[in-house]
Amino acid sequence: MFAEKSLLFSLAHFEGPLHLLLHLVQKEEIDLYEIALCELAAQLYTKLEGVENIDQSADAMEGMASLLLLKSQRLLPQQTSELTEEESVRKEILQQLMEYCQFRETAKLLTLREARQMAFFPRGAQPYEEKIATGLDEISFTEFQKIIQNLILQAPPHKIIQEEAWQVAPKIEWLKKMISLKRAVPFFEVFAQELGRLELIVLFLALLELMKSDELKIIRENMDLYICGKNV
Amino acid sequence: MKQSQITREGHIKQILEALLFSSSEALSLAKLREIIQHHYPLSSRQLQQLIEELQAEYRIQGRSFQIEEIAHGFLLRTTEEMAPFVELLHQDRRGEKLSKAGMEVLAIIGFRSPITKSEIEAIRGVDCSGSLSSLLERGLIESIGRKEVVGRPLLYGVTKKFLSHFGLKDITQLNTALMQSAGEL
Repeated sequence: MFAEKSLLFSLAHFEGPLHLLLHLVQKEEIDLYEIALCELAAQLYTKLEGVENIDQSADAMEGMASLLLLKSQRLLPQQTSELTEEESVRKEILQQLMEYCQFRETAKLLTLREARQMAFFPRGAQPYEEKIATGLDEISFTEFQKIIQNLILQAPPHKIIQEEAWQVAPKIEWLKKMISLKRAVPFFEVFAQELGRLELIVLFLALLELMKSDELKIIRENMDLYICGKNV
Repeated sequence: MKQSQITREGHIKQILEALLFSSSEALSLAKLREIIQHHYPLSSRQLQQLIEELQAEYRIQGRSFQIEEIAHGFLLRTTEEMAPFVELLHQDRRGEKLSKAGMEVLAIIGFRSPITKSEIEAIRGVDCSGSLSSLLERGLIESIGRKEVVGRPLLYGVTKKFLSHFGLKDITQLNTALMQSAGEL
């Protein structure tokens, strides 16, 4: 009898009278977040216009108000005073973690967006600049860095016989001379395994100097690296 | 006279094109209107409409550039289709990309601005001084005041450069733009 009197509503996830919806929400059979209260209110409003029985409309009004109250309560942050200290700390940490994860995802999207934006060039972009000689056209900087790092790490830190005090200038001369004789030398022949760590470093500095002044460069042929003169 | 042959609208569009062509940064509608108004009094809405017409003309003619609404203004940029070619000319164009940490800090500021350093650190759980100073240096964020609490810490927000870096019209677009990126994943 009650149901007969009640106003019926139809929504995406629910069809029936308001008090049933309220009951289901309270029993957590229906997720309140999935109910568009705005639409419900709009339906109620149009239905109320045709209703003559005040009791009938009052029921619906009360149901609507309760739903609104419930939903707004859930939207607001919950009172933490009821929680024990440990619980609230845990909750706080969890919330913070979730928030951080969210921003980490956002950062990824932002990176994606940045990459996509690289495809659009505005007017007056920096004109093409003549590149400064690096001597590293065929091998990436990081790759080269790794090779040198490995070499230095693998080299024996001290030779048994006292090493001489290596200097960059003589090594430069030596490199120049070798290249003028041979044009191209396998990289690992120059940077040989048996060299001491100190000698390797000095040799490397000499090589860098010559690469900077565009006299030497590193080339790659069939995966092998060569040191060669500028015009090779 | 050549000019008398073209219509008022046509002439305004020419002026618009010249202004956009001469500028490497986004020009606001207000600025464009201020300049054009010397000759042709017109409302912002009319101006906006003429810009849209110009945009459509470029599209129809298949131009290699387009007028985009970025950083509270309008900017001429090459189209995405031209990227493979233009890229070859400007290989070292925009310097290094942002680090992961820097991007996270930027995301937080983008959504939570104005925000203090300690509030950012509370979210990330680590010190952010380095990221903040590099973002400041790159002009992507700026201090926009002080928070009225003990110690009056600086508040940070994103800059116009941030908007142009990410090709956004304004900050409210950030969310939609990122949803789009998510959709492309």
